[in-house]
Amino acid sequence: MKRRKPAIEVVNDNVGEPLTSAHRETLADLVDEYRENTISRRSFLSRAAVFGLSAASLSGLLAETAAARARAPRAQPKRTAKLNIGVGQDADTVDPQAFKDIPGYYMLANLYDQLIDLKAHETKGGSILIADASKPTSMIAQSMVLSKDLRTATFKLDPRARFQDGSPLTAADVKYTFSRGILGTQYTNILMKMLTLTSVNNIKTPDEHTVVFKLDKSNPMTARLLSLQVLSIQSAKVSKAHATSKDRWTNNYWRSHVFGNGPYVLKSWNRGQGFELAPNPNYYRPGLPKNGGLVFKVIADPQQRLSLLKTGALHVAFEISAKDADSVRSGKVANVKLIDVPSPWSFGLTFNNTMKPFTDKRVRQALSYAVPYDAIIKTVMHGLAQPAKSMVPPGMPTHDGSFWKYDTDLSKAKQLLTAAGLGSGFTTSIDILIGRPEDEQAATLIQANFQQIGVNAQINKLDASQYQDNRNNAKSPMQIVEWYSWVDDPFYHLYWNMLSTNTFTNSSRYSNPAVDKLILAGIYEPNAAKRAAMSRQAQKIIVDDAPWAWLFARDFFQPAARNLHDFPYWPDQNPRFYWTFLT
Amino acid sequence: MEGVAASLHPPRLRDPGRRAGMTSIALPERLRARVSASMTRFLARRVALAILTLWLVTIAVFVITNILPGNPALVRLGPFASKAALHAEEVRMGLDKPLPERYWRFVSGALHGDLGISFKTERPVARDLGDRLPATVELACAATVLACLVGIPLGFLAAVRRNSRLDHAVRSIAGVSAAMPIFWLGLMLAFVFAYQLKWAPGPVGRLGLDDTPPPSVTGFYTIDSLLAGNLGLFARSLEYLALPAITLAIIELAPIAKIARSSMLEILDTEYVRASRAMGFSGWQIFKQDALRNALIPLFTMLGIVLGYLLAGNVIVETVFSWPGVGQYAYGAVTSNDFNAIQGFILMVATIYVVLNLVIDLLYALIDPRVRLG
Repeated sequence: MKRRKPAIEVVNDNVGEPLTSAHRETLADLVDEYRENTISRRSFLSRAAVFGLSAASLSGLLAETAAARARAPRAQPKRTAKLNIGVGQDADTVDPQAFKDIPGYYMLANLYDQLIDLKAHETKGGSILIADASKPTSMIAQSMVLSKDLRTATFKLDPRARFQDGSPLTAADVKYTFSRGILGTQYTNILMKMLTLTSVNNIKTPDEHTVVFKLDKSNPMTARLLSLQVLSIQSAKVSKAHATSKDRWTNNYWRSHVFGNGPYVLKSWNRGQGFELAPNPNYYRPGLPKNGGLVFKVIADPQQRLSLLKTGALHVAFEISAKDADSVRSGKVANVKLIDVPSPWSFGLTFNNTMKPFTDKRVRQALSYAVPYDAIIKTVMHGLAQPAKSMVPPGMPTHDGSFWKYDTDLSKAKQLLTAAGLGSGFTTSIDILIGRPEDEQAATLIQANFQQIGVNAQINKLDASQYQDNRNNAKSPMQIVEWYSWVDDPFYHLYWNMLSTNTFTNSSRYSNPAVDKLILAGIYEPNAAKRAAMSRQAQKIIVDDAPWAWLFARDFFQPAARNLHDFPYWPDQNPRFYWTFLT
Repeated sequence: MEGVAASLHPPRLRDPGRRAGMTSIALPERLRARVSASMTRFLARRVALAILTLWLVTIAVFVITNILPGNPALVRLGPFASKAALHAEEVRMGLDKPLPERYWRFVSGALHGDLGISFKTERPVARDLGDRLPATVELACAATVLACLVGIPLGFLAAVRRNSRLDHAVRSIAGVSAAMPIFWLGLMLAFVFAYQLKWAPGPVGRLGLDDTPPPSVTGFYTIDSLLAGNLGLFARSLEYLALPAITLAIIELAPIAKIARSSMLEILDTEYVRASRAMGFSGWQIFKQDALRNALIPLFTMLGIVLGYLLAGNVIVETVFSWPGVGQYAYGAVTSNDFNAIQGFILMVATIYVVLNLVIDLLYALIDPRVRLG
């Protein structure tokens, strides 16, 4: 489905273009309805005329829409059908700005809206709706206008936007939300720094529906950062009502309370069992949600989730291993399909760049040559992954695999080890996280190859706390790590993983002043061509330095019911299920 | 004859003499006073031992959970946490305090029913456990009742017909059920009865995805749905209870049947049973009047152990059947280093064990004077 066919481009990253009509969304829905055969031609024409379109525009719109309808007959959504979704664990905290377990993000992505959204397009015959990070679109903000220097962003809020109780969402709420991000101690604090919105004084609210951000730097990532679920708009009134002198930003209250403005409301939540979201009767965007609600059920065993999907009890089964996903590839099971798209979700074997012998580049390169990349993709990931070949993963803008040189070659690995004075090998260890069987399988394959070059690597399976602790304190010689960047941007990705000062997230403790300089300059470089060149330069240096062995970029794969359409895939991987429907 | 019957029978148990028109011997006043003093001493000893056990448990739990490597504040905040935020979280969690102070807080809180806040759910641990315990208790009770209904008669029958085909069959069944891995059994039962035959609902927990739980009174969905007058929901809650309860019951069956058989064999071999036989009572009369109650006594101990084990939460069965009990909660707590939840869970389990054992000891003392007099 082409979403919002006549919609006017709202913004681009660099150039703001305001909406031409407050009724744009309504017109878009009208077109959708016509394309979905839910209204007649006559009804379409009479209702479209209200928008003051010229006869020529109307007939053009009608012709194009009718042609689209003829080309791709639309599946008819069952708008009252609920989606049953199996998850491995329950949501924990429900503060949009806090770090959460994954189901918490799933819940909040459907309960709250943000200022900006990303445009999405349908692929794979309507199975999946993919958001395009380069095409921001309206959400709570009807328009965002960026100044030429990209340092002033002016938002016009949708006057229809409401909180779940029907109370209006205004500029005061936006200001409160971002003030909480700037001054609070939550997760968003760090994103505000990246946005370079560093002072509450830089948020102006000239009227009830206008917000102006003054950014410290010209920022090419502004719209993409604002589309993140963690920057959901919260109610200033509710928050202030529950603030205390010790808890100014109402962290304690928001941990366990929801007051949303999104397409759903939290209907029930049985701790440990799951939660149900019902359509929000006060939601401001017509036509959404496209289903009758969401039932998230905790099914702890992934095998049972998949079995329940096969029986039709579930429509979506999350957290399914590559092996099990492979078993339901299209055609293998009658009522289940596997949604599979390449994604920049990086998996790597990190070398501790501050620990001997990994301080020697030749050792890192040798081990990079010894990793059995193809075997891992084939036998561990069952083909549901792509060769990564660079720190900027494939699928992410400016990815360049041409600097890659580490195709598996044990003799080269041995030569490099000998050159580094370790021809007789050495003993080391690989830390992996309990609960990720694919990491364990990959580690076993790597261990076998390393043994062939004289490197004895013990595999340590660690719980989340110890694993994280080892990473943060640079205690692991090697770790298998995963990373997907919420913002589909090479410098966002490099900033967290390769900048020497980001010791908590730079898991290999990689440090190269030239790369640091490129990252810090590139992240705020407004010129797209220059930015791309800087990204490629950084990738070239990093690949040669080999701080990681880039194992693969995991596909985004998701088993789902065959009659499920428009499974949402956004860069932050938080599913906006209000677009999804059953037929 | 009267004297022989009185000396052969355990005191206060039904004896064949009563059936034959004989009277039990009343205890003299001095002896009753001695029994009462013994009972008080026995009670005091048991309660003191229970308190001491629980205190040792608090020390063990606290020490073990606090020497685990890793920083729960870091897990809570995630990889982006700044040092300042991390420190603030450590302060919030009380991790900056010295160990003795943390232990004292833990113990004094526990005495007031405060087991701290779960780092994962952000709710009081006591409330989390309280919410989940009914699910575990309901499952454990259903499984135990099933196992007793099947295991005890089977064990007794096997004993009565010792070395018969039935006896061999019962011993084989008990052996197989004891040897069966519980995760395999659960998966197989779900696969066959839920997915293949579709006789039972899928393993999605206590009720279906479209069902609304009954208003909570006891926390048992079966009882609460009856209290709400919703027979349809009662039937559905039974359907969802069936497979996990049968899985656990099959595993429980083995020790129950074995103990039932061996204790019945022991009773049938006693002098008073032989005396009854000599007096001409039928096998059924002897079983019903003499052997049954006496043979049930050792089963109390076994049931106490089994029930305590089940109430501690069976992580595997709860996971396979998505049963939202304390077992799943504990598993989640361990994997996320949720200190307070781990401590609270172990303390709860220890308390259940200690209380169950205490109750069983007291019941023993009530029904078997040899215990309190010894």
